Amino acid sequence: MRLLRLDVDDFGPYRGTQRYDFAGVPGVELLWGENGRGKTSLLNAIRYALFGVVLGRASAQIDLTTVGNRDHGSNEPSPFKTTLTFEHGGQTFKLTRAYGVSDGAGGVRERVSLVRDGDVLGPEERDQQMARLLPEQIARFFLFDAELLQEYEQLLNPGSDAGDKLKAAIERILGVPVLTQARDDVAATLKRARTLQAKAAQKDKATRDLGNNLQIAQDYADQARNNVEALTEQVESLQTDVNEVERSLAGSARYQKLLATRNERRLEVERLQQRSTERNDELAARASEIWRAVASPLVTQRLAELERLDDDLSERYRRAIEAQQGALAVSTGQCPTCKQEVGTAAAALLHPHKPTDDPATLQAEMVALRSRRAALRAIGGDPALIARLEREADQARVDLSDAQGQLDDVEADLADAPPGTLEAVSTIIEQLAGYKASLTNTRNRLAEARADAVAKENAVTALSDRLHRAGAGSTGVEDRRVALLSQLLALLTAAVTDFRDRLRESVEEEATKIFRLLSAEPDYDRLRINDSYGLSILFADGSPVINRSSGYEHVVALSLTAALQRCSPMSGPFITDSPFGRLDGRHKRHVLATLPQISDQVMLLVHDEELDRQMALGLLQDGQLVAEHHLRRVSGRHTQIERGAPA
Amino acid sequence: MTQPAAAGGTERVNVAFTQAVEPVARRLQTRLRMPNLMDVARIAVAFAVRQDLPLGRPSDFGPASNANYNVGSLDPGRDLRGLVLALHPDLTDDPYRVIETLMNVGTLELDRQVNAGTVVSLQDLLVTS
Repeated sequence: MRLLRLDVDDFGPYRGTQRYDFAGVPGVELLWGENGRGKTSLLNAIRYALFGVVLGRASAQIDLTTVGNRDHGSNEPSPFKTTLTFEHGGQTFKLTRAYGVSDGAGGVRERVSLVRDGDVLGPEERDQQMARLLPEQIARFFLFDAELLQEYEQLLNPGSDAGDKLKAAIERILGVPVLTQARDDVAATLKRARTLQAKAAQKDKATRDLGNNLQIAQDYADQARNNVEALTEQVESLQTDVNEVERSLAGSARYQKLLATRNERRLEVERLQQRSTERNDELAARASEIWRAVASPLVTQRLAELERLDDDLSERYRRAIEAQQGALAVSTGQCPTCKQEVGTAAAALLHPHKPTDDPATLQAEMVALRSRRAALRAIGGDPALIARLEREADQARVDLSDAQGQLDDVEADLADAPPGTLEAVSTIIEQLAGYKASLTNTRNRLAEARADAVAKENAVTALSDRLHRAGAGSTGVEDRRVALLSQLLALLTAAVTDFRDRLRESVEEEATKIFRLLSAEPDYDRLRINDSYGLSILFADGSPVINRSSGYEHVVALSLTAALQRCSPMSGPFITDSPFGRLDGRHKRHVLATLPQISDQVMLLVHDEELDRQMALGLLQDGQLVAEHHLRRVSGRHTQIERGAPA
Repeated sequence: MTQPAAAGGTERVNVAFTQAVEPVARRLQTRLRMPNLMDVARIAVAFAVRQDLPLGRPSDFGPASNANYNVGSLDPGRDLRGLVLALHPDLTDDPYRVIETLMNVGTLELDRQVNAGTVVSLQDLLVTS
């Protein structure tokens, strides 16, 4: 497909009838326009012409009643029209879509027409023709919106919603559905053949039971398949709900973030409140013992004194006993211990040991002292423990106070919200959480239902095989038909797998070629594709680049898009808004130099801050830059498309 | 009627804050975040003996007739009593009367030091190294 011309009537800022003539030769064309002039609107005009939709931020569909030009000052829905002329396979097509034609009851409606080589196609043929030429599901690879780059990263996370949708779109552009539809058609034919096989078997006495069982098994398998289909629809419906609610939240991102922060901080305050309570409780549990820790230094000091006194008393007591025994020996002439006679000489030696202290008095003092010592030892007390518990309780209190302060700040910010905003956002967030929970639940049920359907299908196959082996004449024709279709189904199933594998290899190879042209990092060696067509960057040693930059996200997405264009049986223009948004100067040069290899028809919607015109002229030599247009401001609601670069 | 403990007389079974000291004790309870007023009373006794405050009652002591505690609750292991007697072996007064004195004068002294900024938290009452 090659675009030839776009005519717009009162579409967005394009007041009146205006035309954009695409270059008639292969190459890159540039459309220059400042912010707000209508670059995205022009991309949307092409999108509207092709698919009847106009997209805003985050791919949200824009209400068509707001699309018409408002330069006349009215706030009423304004009519608008787009006509896209293109050629494909040697034929010229003119696709017109007009919005706002009265339906006779004061309302608005849309009118679409497709003219092929001068012949107006009927509605059915028109839709079939458009679905063949450029299905809406793969529009993203032709009308490239750099703001949707994050979706390509989702391909690295198998099972993600955006990734699954993108994978389906990729397989569509690569032509996988041709095979999968053939496989599904054969599966449906096989199912009908088995029904006939069961009926034929039921007519024969010898195979009646098997036939009955096969029919019952088929019924069960049908129910299981219906269940899978119903759950699949539920999942899609819930996913749509989730997407819509997420879109409705997009406009209140600030309050959504504040509410999330508030909820986090509330939880943090609750956690710290709990911790503070626990620390206080720990200290309170020791409160009746704190006095012991307070008395502890004095108790320790007094205990040391008592130890010394006890030592002194013990020594004095020993000496007093010795003196008492000596005096007794001298006075009685006999040792009171060993009962030996004490001679004069020995008595002279014992004579100086006169008793000075009364042992009984000393003993009583010792008993009293040791009683005091025991009382003091009983005091105990652990000052370090009490100090630690109090420090921890204090810290918990400070942490709680800080968290409460932060919560108060967020509450103050939220208090500035317009009346009703928070309630509305909270409601939507709750709604979203509900949808997401339902979605997860339904997905789980779907996975179970799929497994159940496979089991039931296997049961049908087993019974069908048994009938075939039974070799009854009454089912012979049906058996052979089932056998043939089974083999065909197996062949197509294997072909789908093989085709996918080969496509992935081709996409990986082509994407790597483009990536090497785009990348400015010599250590980045190649790309590796996963089952979902997600691409990882690899170093030369085969290890993946972890957490690649947003700039390289852009480069990888462009590589994939270019590879899909090359590997696809469909070919078309590559029109991109803000193509260099995340790229530095070096990568911009690489992208610009590579663009002519992506498609025969490349159109870039840029502003002069994003792309230096002299650089573009320098890189797109040898006739690669085939046309330039610019968007001239007439007023805030009126832009004019003009040929050539801006002055 | 009580008799000196050393003489083997009957010891008192209740102790109390005076009217003037009780509000001070409650203030300290809040400041030190103690669950019970009795905890303040015990800490005050320990603080008083650490400060070596006189065991005798000052002339302006006043009647101890406010918050009233059974000594079995205040000193269930009789360790406070043991502390006072171990530190003052020559004590002839009823030890629980002394404890009552110390909990009142200790509370006032502790409050004075809190107000002076000498004591800000429990840790200031502890020697941990």
